[in-house]
Amino acid sequence: MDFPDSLGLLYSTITSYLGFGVNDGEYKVMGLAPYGNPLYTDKIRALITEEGKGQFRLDMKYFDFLAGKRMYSDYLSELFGRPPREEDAAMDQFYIDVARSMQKVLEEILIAKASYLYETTGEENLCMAGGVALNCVANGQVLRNTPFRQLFVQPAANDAGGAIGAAALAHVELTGSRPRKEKLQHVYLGPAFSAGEINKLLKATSIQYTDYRGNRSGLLEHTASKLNEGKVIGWFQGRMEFGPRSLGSRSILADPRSPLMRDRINAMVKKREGFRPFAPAILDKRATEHFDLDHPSPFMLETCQVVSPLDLPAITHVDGSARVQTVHRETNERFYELLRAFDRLTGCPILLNTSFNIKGEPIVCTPEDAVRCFITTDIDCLILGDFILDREENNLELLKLLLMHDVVRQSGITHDVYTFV
Amino acid sequence: MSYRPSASLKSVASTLAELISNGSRDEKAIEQLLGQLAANENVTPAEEYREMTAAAAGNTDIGIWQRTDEDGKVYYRRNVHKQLEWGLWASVHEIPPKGNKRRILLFGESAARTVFYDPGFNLAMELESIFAGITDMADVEIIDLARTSMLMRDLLPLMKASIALEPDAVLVFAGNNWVFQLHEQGYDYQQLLEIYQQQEMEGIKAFMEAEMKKIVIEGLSQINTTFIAQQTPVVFIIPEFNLVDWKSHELERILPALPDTRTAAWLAAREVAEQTDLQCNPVAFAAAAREMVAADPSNPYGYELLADYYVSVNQLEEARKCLETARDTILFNRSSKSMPRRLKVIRETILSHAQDYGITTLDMEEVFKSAYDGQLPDRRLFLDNCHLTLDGVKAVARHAAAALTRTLTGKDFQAAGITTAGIIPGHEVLAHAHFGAAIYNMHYGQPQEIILYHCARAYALFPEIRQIMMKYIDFSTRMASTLLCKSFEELIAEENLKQYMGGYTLRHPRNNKLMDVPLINAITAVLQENGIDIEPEVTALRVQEHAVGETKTDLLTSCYSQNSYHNFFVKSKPAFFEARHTKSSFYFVGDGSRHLSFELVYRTRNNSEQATPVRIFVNGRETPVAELPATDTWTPFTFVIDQPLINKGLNELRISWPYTPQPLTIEGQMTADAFLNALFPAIGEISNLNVMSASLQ
Repeated sequence: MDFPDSLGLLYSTITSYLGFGVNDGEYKVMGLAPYGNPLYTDKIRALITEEGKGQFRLDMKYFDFLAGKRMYSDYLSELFGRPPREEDAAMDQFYIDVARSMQKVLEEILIAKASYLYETTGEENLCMAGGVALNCVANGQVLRNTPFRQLFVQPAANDAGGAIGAAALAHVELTGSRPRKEKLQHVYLGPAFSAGEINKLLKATSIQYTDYRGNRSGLLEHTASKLNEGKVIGWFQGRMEFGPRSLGSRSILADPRSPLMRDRINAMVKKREGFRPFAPAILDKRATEHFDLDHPSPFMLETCQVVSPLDLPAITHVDGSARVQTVHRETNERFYELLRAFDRLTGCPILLNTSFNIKGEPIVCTPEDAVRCFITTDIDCLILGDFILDREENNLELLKLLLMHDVVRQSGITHDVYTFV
Repeated sequence: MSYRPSASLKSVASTLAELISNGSRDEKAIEQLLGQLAANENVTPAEEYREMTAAAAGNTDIGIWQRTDEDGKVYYRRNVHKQLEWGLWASVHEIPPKGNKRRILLFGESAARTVFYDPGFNLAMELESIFAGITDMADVEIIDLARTSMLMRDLLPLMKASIALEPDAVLVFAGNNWVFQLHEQGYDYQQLLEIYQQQEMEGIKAFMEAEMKKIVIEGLSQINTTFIAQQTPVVFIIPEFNLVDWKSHELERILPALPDTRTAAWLAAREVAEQTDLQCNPVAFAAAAREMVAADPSNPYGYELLADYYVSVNQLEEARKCLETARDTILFNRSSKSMPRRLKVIRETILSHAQDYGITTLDMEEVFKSAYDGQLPDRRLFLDNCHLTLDGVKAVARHAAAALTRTLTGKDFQAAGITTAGIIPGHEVLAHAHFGAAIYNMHYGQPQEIILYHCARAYALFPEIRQIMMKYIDFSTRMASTLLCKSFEELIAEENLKQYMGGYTLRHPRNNKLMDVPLINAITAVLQENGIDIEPEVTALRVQEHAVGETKTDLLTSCYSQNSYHNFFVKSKPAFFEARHTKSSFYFVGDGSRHLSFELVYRTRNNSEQATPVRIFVNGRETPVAELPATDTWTPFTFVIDQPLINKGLNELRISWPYTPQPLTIEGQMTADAFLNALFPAIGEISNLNVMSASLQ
């Protein structure tokens, strides 16, 4: 496929038509789709000319992203018979059905592409990259509907993955040899901060906190206990994840069994659309008891059906699916032990796991980012390495007011059109 | 606040996308477009304030004050939704309906706001105090609409909105910020390049001054339309500048791409001037300074040195001309933080056109000359570049009161006729003003001597200010962001920073904190002089927070690599450190017990074999600890500094870059950044500068 005949740009165009931001709203379309019916697949297909083997061309009559102002032309509204949805407008069924239709066509194209690739190569393993490869619903469909036995998606498959290519190129230029071929075990590749550094930060502030250095089991048991009480926890441990998913290093955690938890987190931290589900993290060895999953899913890049005997409303999507992360002792021991502690306390080896950030901001990276997020949201407790900060033990109002004065320099990427910079 | 790319950036991106989609092989064109995109980082407008002024223009708000109708009367009360900017305006909750008093509106910028004294004391208070003692003026009230950081584009809509307050007269004390209007409007950089190639910096200066003149005339015209045409008289105070005590920063002294041998001439002359004792050999000193001016007329440093000479021989008018020329060199856009100032072209344009627009002027330059017997304006009148001392405010207030009295009464009334002493602020207010001035001078790279002066004045006036100084040291020295520090939180809670614009202006962008070393050193010295030794405490805190240990410390972090808020003017910054002058300094903190190992990845713009090497010095020692070859490719280099050379506490690593003339070359598309990068080329670049304990390497 050559530019501009891009599956990603097609999906982003519909994302924009549905009133979500380009580059940051595509996953909302995916989350919205199960609530709708695929009534408009013919309209979506009218946007492209299929050429077999999963190949297609965009009918540029409907697209305007080359002009740099917006993704779609007026013909798209004509085609659907409805104007684009305004960003903050109510979400009526028509737009939900468009989302479902887009998702369905996407899945069909991907299945066709993958099938062609299988026929051509005979290989059993499929690797995918690019922002579209983060569409875990479609990935699940590809795996279920093609002969491929295994699917691997590089966890930072979006534009951030360009860094891997740059590093590989530098490696080749500097050493003259190819990078070693080894299985990617984890994505905990970002910065880490020592207990000393975190303590130094906390000591500079007026925040009251408890020091659990040398008492890991105490920290885990206290955290599990708070989760069981229905508290929402900011979890900041070790090296940060590379890529768009929080996988237990920079996460917001909660009890998945609570029917109120999804709305509570949306209201207190995420400030996001209620239809979007949160994801579960589960002890790897217990995954098959609760999810229709026969292989590890350490990167949260595919969905499967919830088959748990437990009622898990906070992480179960409307179609009964969930975007599972299996947690392995070998790659994230502390998170694994927390899940075990929660399991011992409750009989549930699962936690709701969502990214540790406020709407519109990136995932926290440093301890200071985490403290800022803790102060400015209503997260109940922050587990910052070996330290626990509890909102009930602090009056954070003045700090909150001060942080309102903070100068936040936001991304220059516009969300009205794909920005080629 | 959120920042969006300019519209022009989108069209560039589209052109690029089209080229790529067409399968274009025109790599040069693609590269140029990519360069143009990279060079156009987002403009960062003060959107919150734009919203405010838009609201003022479009509805009934006046600044932060929202119209409220009660019992058939109109009140203006502070809008809680604009609480974040209350600290920039007068600390007045309500503007009542106009009563029997005659009403004068005061407009202006931070100088009119009386920054560093306000809200303990300000120009509006002083004026009301003076009017209370003048016959026929006791029934006058001042409505203080001055705002810190007021720009011309915001001032004019505010004036229009303020008509609703039914003014009898208007006092405007503005002009220091008008130069920013010039920088905001953008230029045809191809045209600027051609001007430079034909006429060098003098041509650029003439062009900029012509543009500035148009802006000033437009401003006067709008003031006329808003007030004079409505029969409301206007007195305009033309600000003066602290010519003597406000010095150019080293970034404002970087050399442009000079033709021929003038780079070498300037550098040699600077060395001579800096090594010549003015008192012992004034002729050689002056000759060197003149040579600097001749080699680079756009550079403030030569003029400043020449002014020193003229002052030494009591030729004050010559010194004034030099210092004014030095002041006006900010027209050449070296630093993004060149501070507000009233340029010569602004004063002359106002003086020559105000009368045509019916505006009465009050020229502070003449007022101060008269009051100080022709002496040059200095720290007696100014706390920093443009903010007045108590004496300065009182002089302005007396002359402004006289001018307004003449205007409103029609009588011949002179400032000399004012008998009242006005308001006398308490020592605590005065001390806070001086401490605020010390902070401000430090953040904008002023010499240690003036920072020390203000700290000493603050302590002498009010020794209790030590408690605030200690808290300042605490939050400045810590790694944590200022807003998160307990010591800062306490100062805000106790309202100890209210004279520093509420204290919130001490916040810094994330990951851009300074250690404020010059200020902390000045406080330490002042307290030491008064028998209080805080040096061990300061050193212990620095070691606790910053001491180099077994993990790498990145010396490119702002707190180690920056000593002020000056930054090169370009919008798009590379992801590495750029040196545009010959010396780059970095702090590091030692615990006094170990050798330290440094990793440097660098390059220079000169790779000739004969080139002077890059030299690295520590703690002011004359012998370099390392010498590196000049190279135009990224080159790693490691070196160790032995423990005996390292202080416990603060240390300074200085890199001396070789400086050679460079031709003016524009790479890629002509943009503002491309133009400035070519005009003021980087001479050294660092992608990594890390330090860690050597013993464990």
